[in-house]
Amino acid sequence: MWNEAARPFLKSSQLVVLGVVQEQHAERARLYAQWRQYSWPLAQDAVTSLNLASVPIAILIDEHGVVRSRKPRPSGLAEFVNTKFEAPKKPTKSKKFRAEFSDRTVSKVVAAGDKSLMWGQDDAALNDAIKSYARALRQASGRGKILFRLGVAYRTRFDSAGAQPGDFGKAVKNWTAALGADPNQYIWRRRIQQYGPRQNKPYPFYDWVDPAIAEIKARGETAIELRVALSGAETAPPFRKFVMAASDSIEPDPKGRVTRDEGLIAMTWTVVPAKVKAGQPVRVHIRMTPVQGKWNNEGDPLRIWIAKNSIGMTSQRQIEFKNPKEAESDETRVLEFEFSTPARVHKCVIKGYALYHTCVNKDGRCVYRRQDFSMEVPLLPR
Amino acid sequence: MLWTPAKTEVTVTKYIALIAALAFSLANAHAQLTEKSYQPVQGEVYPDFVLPSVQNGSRIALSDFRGSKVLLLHFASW
Repeated sequence: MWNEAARPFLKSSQLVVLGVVQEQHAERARLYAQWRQYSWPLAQDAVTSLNLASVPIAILIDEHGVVRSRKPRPSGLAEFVNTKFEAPKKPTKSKKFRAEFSDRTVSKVVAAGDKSLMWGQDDAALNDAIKSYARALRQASGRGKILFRLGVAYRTRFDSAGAQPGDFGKAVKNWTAALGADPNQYIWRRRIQQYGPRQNKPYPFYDWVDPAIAEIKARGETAIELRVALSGAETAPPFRKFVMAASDSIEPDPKGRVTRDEGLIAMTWTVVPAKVKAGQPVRVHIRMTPVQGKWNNEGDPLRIWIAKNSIGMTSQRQIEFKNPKEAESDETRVLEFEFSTPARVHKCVIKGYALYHTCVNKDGRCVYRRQDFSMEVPLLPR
Repeated sequence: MLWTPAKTEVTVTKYIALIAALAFSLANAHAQLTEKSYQPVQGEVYPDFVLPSVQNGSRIALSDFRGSKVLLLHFASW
């Protein structure tokens, strides 16, 4: 809408368009801009450092830096570009974006974290950002803006080569706490919903990616490659009602006869949101990473079974990961499902196991293994 | 009424508690205040910012465009 309206004025150099995108993954924003054919500069604000509570917002700023309209219409652009605005008689001091934290030390520490996160080029800078935000949090406990930033830093490290176990879980935990501190922060709420259950989603979030890539290719261009693959949660359409798994699934190893994994494949999980009220749904992200083995793709696919004695309802009783074409591979596999916690419980536990074929790195033996899990869904006090 | 050291102690303790409570509520009020988000105001100078470009990571500052009319678009790609 704005791109079209601004085009003639951009061409005649009467107007500058500047975009600021709330996006953690720069290449996703780059792909979006390529798809929409934005020719103007686009800045990234991954941590909501500009302290806005919601987007989209369009603002008209005159040649003196003064806001002339904060709710403009595309039809009003011509009048804006053709008006000569007087410079303010008194130089007005602009308000700062940066959150005024309880003291200057905290502000400085947060600023140092922002600098490391936004401008740092390596894992060391990311670790510095995490340290800065954690330090700021110790000095000003419970501050939403710091918690959100810390969540972004953990998620960024999770997506990097320097990922550490639990990074995604820590990101979700901090984002959940940030939203608890300020439930009206639309941008923070969207971040949780991005990875959360379908029942909480207002729309699919990244369903535009595949059509955008197709459209870009049809134009004869090479689409920007996404460094971080989209998770199932990020493209799943919203669904208002929790759909329980069919009850006719047959349990693959009811008597537990399959040999337990001896450390060949590591399993971690993250529950989103990090805490819920009893009766609310969560989305569970299970990650399985080869440690001392490789995936053997010639056998049955990797599958997760959600045990029937789990406390609550599951969206899928059994989740399968489609085998890649190669005979062996060593990628991290992510499997997701949704779980509805019962309304009147104090504790909610999801139990189950994974079954998979793996080949041992040490001696090349190919074996079939089982790995059990029991994950507690943290519940908010009733 | 007799003024005993014990009563003085109780009164001082009460005052300390009162001051502590007041300080706590002031700090809390400040915390509430600082959680507020920024709202652009018509007629005021828009605050400058410096952010990385999604295209190449270079520096983009609003003040670089002073002297030009700017359509500033805050949006999300999700």
